[in-house]
Amino acid sequence: MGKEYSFFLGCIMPNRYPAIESTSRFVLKELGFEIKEMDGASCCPAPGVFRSFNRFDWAVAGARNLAIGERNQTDILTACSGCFGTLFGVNHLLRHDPEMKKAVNAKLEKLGYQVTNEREVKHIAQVLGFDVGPRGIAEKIKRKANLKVAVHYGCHFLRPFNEKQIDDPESPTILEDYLEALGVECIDYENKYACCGAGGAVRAGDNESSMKMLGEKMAAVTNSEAEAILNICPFCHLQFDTGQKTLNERYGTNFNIPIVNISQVTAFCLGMDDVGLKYNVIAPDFKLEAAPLE
Amino acid sequence: MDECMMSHIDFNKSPEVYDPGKKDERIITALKDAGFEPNACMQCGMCTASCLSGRWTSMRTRQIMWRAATGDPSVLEDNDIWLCTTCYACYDRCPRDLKVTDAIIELRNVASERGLIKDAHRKTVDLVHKYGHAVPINDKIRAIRKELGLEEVPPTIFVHKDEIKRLAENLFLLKPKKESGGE
Amino acid sequence: MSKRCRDNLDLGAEEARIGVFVCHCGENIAGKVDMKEAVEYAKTLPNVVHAEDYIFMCSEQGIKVIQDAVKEHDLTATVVASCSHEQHWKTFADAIEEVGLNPHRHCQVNIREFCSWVTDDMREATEKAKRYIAMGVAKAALKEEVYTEKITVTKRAMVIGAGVAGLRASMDLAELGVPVVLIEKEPSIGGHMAMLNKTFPTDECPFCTVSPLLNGVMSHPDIEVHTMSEVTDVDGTFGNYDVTVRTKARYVSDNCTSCGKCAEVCPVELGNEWDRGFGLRKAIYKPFPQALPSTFTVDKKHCIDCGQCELVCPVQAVDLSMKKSTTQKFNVGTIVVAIGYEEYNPSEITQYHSEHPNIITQLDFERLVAPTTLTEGKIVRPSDGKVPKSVVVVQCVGSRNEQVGNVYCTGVCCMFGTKNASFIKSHLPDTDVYVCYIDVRTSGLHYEEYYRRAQDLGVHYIRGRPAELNPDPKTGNIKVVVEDTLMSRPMVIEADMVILSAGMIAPSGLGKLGSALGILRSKEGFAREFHIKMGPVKSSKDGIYLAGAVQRPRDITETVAHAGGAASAAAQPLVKGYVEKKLDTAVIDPDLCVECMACVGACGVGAISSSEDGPPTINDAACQSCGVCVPACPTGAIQIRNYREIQVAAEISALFNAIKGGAQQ
Repeated sequence: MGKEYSFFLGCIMPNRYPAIESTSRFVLKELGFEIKEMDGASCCPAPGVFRSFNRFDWAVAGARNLAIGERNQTDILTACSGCFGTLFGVNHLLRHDPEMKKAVNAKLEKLGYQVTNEREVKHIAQVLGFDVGPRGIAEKIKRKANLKVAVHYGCHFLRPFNEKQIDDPESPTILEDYLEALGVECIDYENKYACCGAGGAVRAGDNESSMKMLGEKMAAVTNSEAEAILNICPFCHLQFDTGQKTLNERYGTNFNIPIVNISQVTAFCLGMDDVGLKYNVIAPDFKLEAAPLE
Repeated sequence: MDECMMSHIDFNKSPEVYDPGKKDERIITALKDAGFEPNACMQCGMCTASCLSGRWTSMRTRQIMWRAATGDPSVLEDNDIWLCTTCYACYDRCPRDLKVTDAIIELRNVASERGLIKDAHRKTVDLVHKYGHAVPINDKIRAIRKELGLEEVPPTIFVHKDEIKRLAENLFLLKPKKESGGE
Repeated sequence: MSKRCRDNLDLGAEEARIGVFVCHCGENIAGKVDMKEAVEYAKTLPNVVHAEDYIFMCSEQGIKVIQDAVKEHDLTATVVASCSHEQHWKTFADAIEEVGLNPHRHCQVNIREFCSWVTDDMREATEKAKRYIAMGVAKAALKEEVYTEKITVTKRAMVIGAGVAGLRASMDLAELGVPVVLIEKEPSIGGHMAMLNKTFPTDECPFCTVSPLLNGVMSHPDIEVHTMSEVTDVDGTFGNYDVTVRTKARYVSDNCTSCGKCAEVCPVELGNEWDRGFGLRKAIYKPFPQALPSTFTVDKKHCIDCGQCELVCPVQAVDLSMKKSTTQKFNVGTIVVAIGYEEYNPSEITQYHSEHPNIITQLDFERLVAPTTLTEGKIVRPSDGKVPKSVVVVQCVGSRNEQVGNVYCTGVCCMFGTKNASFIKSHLPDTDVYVCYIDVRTSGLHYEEYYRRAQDLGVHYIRGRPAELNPDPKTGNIKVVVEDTLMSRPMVIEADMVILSAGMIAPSGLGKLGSALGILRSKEGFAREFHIKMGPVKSSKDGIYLAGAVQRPRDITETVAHAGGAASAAAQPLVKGYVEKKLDTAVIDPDLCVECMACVGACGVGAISSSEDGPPTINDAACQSCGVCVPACPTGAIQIRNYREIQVAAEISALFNAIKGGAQQ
């Protein structure tokens, strides 16, 4: 391998769930990727929140982060679907709208940056799922994980399809194929492709509605045989984690499904014992169980 | 006859009857900029049917789009436009290939232009202006980061006060709240 | 081949007496092109002895203006500066023919589509018009007389496709006295109509309705039916097509009595495609009991060659050693394409999960409830044979969609969706039947009443396009996620069974067949009609006609009418006995020809053939006047009449002179 990436951290991952960051870094290193830090990177800014107030400023702030990656002369990698939505989205937008790009660069100059949009933006799930792939990871892992999960794709990894073109959002297989190599069983459940309810500034702006939407997802997972929820986005992770607690407090439910990020389960299979599940609010005592390779 | 007991009605013009001449062109333009041709929506309801929010709140995507397509100014003050989680399911499925989610974002932009931003959202913007992050680090997390062997404070904009200042001075300078109504 | 034109290279330009007629076309041309200026300019051009303008040249009075001028000024050629060649060349050519001139001495100059319609600038339009007039005058001076030849046609038509469109067309042609060769690729005639359970709006049994036509075609003395057959090659031209047809073997000869003993002993049983998987057949089979011809067929792919059928047949009709296919050539005058349609495959719409057994299409449903299939005519759902308590019909699947499927509206599904919804409701009155629609388009005769009847029966119409169809693995039920838009209310209907009204699409065989025929396709994939309003039964090519859904989705009522139109059009040249061919075709000057035969190879339609001795011969009937032979010739011996190099050069010279602003010559 040896491919270099600028690792975009975002906000939630480093500042709320750093275990996702540590396991991501570990996984990338074990798989032979070179990581460069993005010095000075800011909030992506969140696609549902900031883009709602001022789309142009959102593009400028996003382009600033892209420019930092471009200065590193590498492609940009993120472990958060929200950040992916913004960075990929701004990159895509400016590539297709030269007028907008000119205007963005004009404002960006005041902040001391210029953007070229010549680099790619990738999500760690696509790097693991496609670039490394099920065969690639099978060669590297030291053990499998004995786990039944409800896979939560989230929203901004695959959608909008005409932009991302990674997998069919209605019937994707990228994560299932990858997780199968790790020994993880992916359980079918109702509303599998539904949103977690956090995005679009809803979690902050109308928490009650956000929690209701989460409730639908939690009910579906609880009705299935899944032992844990597998996510690829720290914001979904936060919503599922603290959200279950909120639901239990507000509505008297008994949700207690552990929430695991793809980097955490991958790190476990690569040999890391403590992947930081203890920092979750819900089911902090949950531990991943190893299974033999064959 | 007690004058204060009488209420005033203009019987020449019923308030119940919608006047299409009152449409807000800014809303129509916003939809077109977003890639949503207002007249092309056939109101099939695929968007509402796809909407998670629609199942749990009063948000009816299709209806929001119709009100916006007819330039109804009340749509900007409707809380429903802030209940979209931007999941893009409707956008990917619209049979007229209209960019629904982007249109909702654009409506939010127009509402924001007019100062119609919730307090909770203004707080989020304040955080970015202060720390460069919408979700800044705290002591508890710093300790956890140390435990995990990570840099206590990640090398982001957080440690570059001058960059935060430049960002705060140039981006997301929100319009103040509207005096009457608004959130 | 009778009359030829005078191959006269001395075209007598000096003797030409040309009349120029500039048309106002109301304000269409006169609004941009200065009429007076154009006329005065025309008068300065060489060989012009008369020029005038008129408000509507193509009117009766306008024609008279031209004819009077021809007589009064002894004109030898005319130029009308008006609309396009396609539009009115023939009008004016016929006009001068009436007063004794060869029609090809008329030259049409386009100052409407090419001048007044493409600019807002009057000066620009007028200058361009003047240049075109100069070119037209130069051409008119050199125009040669060209005659029309009556080419005898073969009084026989071929109809490709034996569904209701092809059957109707064949019958109409045969009754007009035109013998028909009917080609069908399946083992039986009948097409989709024979598969249906009911037809709207009368809910008649389709097989009963079409049966007289089926039997009529089979027994008509002037219709030759070839099943198991496909067209592989088409040569020749309008009036004389040579069509190669490949017929696959049935491995059963025509003396089959259809007794069925062979099928009884055949050990191979599989799903019957004709029954959409809801029925079974053997490797030796008839697709359905009333198949015509009633001869059995062996499906060699699944046959295990045990030979039992050969042994048991009482008339020794089965012969497993027959040659796999045979080829025949037919000479016909015209061809009617009636290969029908296919049903859109909804598996493209992933969130509709059409792979689930309880999510079927309308054509599947038609066979599901047929009395000859495994359900014995009962309405039950495929996964477990349970009688459904709740059925949802989903409209517009693969239609009216810019992201998947097709943009167009099929226009038939509102009726067949309503038909099957009513059918279920009237047989199972306690079952909840829903139709999820966006619009209800029931616009034919008695169609709106049919919709009303469905509603009276209790079918619930929900205005909303379902976003997802989610099968429940435990119960086999399907959760239909839809918004009731009229109530602004999201709803989930838990259905036992879902029927998708999948749209009608172009048949997959059209690509190959269309290429062999040389006809154009529309962007939606159907066969392209000659003109959307004025030529719906003509294809893009002379002598080839279109009948039924192959041209665009339509129901049986419309198909029968359309097929009748196609038959009438296909019969016209054959009943007349000839086609008229204008001989502005290729001609070879034997003095210049060096007999290299390069033109033979260059011709794309095989109209030129080499001779043993002397210059090549040209088949005027086949020649399309495309001109590709002209640059192939090293000596300039082959030319196209009225498009000769010297004529074209004269036009170009005239153009340059006009640009320079000087007078001619």
